[in-house]
Amino acid sequence: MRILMREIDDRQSALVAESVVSLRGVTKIFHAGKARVVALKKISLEIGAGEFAAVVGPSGSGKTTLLNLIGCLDQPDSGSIVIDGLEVERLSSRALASLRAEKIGLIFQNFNLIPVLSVGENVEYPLLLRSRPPDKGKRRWMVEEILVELGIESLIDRRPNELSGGQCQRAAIARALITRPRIVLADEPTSSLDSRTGASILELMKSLNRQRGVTFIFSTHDLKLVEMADRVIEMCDGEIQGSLSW
Amino acid sequence: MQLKLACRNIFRNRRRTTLTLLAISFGCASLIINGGIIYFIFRGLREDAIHGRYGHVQIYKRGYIEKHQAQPFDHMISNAEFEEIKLMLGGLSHVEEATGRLEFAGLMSYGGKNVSFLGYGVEADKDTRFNTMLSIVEGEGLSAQEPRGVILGKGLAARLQIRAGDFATLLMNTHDGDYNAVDVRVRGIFEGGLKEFDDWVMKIPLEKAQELLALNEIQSVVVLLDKTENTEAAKELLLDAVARRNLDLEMTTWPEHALFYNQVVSMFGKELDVVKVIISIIVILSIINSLTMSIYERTREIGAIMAIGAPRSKVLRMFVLEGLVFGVIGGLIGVVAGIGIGSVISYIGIPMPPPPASTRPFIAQVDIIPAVVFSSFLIAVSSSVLASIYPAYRASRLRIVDALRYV
Repeated sequence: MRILMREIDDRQSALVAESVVSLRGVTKIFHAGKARVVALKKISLEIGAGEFAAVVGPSGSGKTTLLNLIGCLDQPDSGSIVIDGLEVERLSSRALASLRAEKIGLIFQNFNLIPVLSVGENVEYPLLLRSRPPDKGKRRWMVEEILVELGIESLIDRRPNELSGGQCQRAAIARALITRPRIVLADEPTSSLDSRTGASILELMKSLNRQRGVTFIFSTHDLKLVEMADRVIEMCDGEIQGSLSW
Repeated sequence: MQLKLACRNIFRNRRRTTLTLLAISFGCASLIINGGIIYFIFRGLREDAIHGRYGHVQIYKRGYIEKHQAQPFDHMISNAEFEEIKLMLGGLSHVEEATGRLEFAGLMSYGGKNVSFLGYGVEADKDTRFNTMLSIVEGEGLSAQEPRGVILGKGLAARLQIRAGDFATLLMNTHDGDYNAVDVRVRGIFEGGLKEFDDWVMKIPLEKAQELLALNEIQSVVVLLDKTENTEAAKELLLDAVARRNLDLEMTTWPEHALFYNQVVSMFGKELDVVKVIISIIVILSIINSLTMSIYERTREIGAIMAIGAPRSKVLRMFVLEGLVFGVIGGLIGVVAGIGIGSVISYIGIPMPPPPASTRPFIAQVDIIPAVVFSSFLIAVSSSVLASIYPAYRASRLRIVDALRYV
């Protein structure tokens, strides 16, 4: 990789101008019967606003667990997580849901679009989960705007089963961005796609990151896609091996 | 959007949804038909009691109701008062007709047999209008032209082995205790439908009954109304009119006399409740099964919905809403099917044996009662909603990360 690399240790947080994600000594343990698996070991990490960060590492290294914790989908066993100034462990289940609805966008490997809703309705759905949903006309306008931005406005009335994988992921990205979140998390967003479509999805994410200043954190196995990231967090056995920026 | 989502979700698996809707609509239709047959029987018994024996409202001299068994002739309505009552009734709404009655007991003698009877002195010309449920099975009805012509219940005639046209002797006490006897001709034999009534009752023109009892009075004025449903309203009007005219009268309504009807309503009402519970259980099990299967199939989707910000309460509401949609659609189909099938059954009719204590078989129909239709629909909807709560709760308690990993 023709990149400038600089290893940043746990103290690198001080270098980040405005941190939207802050993890301090986060540990996550899973129990499967009598077995005990430490998925994350005292992870500390700061991610600044507007970063386009890739989390890489082999299977079982803790990438998904890390994204789940940042996305407030799960709770750590110890340590603290601060998302956009809010200490996650102090929040109730309802407040966490609200935090996800207002500040976090999620993109899944398998898209997870609601099959009985059209693309337009899928994209509109998160707006209805906000504490103050916009009125119907505004919602319609917002949906059309984001679909145009992502080049899938012609698919607005299609159901997910009528779309290709790339179109589905574009719709999922539109759904993640419709609420104008501070952070977008994408767990293996390209692994269900062929390499060309995967690259185009990553390019789209990158351009949205540049245009909107949204923080993108995504996990991937694909080293070609890692090149697009302006920061790479390498994980292994539940620990951050290194955090590289260029 | 939530309603749209619920409607679309329940039709994802059309076969399962069809079976669930069939269970709900079958339950709802069953309640309508079963309830309709039972209400038809209630109506028959009610009208039988009103138009065969009691009328809608009974007016008595004050004190009669409390003391008539010990002192049957101490609280009587004089002929003059009877005329005033008829005048009063003439101006009241809902009142169609009124007649005087005099009840007494005695012995009837024929062919060496003496059988006790319950005598009804009635206005001969009006009796057929007051007893539309009573059928003459032999001979003819009462006539004012034949004061000594009586009609007997089928059972009473059988006990005496007497036929229409035969003569018999009535023996009784007058109101002051003297003995009196008179020969009468049996004009006809009737069947009132209630065995107890048919076994004991003899009807005789009122004037002849008064003569036999040496009275110029009657015990009660029986009032027929335009509709049975107006009974309580009419009673209120009557009480008001009696108070305004300062008459010393009291009154009862048909339910206070129709004990058999009340017992049947109470018993079949309980049976109807049991059927409601059974149907509710069927609906609940169907919905639980359907929604639980649906949750298994949609686990990852539920995880995704919660991941993008839906609180657990919203997921719970989503499945309860699906239960509600199931209930409403199934209930509506059930209502249409229930009314349709009920109408066909009513058109064809179901031959039924005589009800307990009755002597007549009947052709059952299905009364479409709005209250029964509404309550059946309500049971379908409420059972569906109730049944959806447990699966909905389970769905809302899923751990997001586990749900997202679910395969």
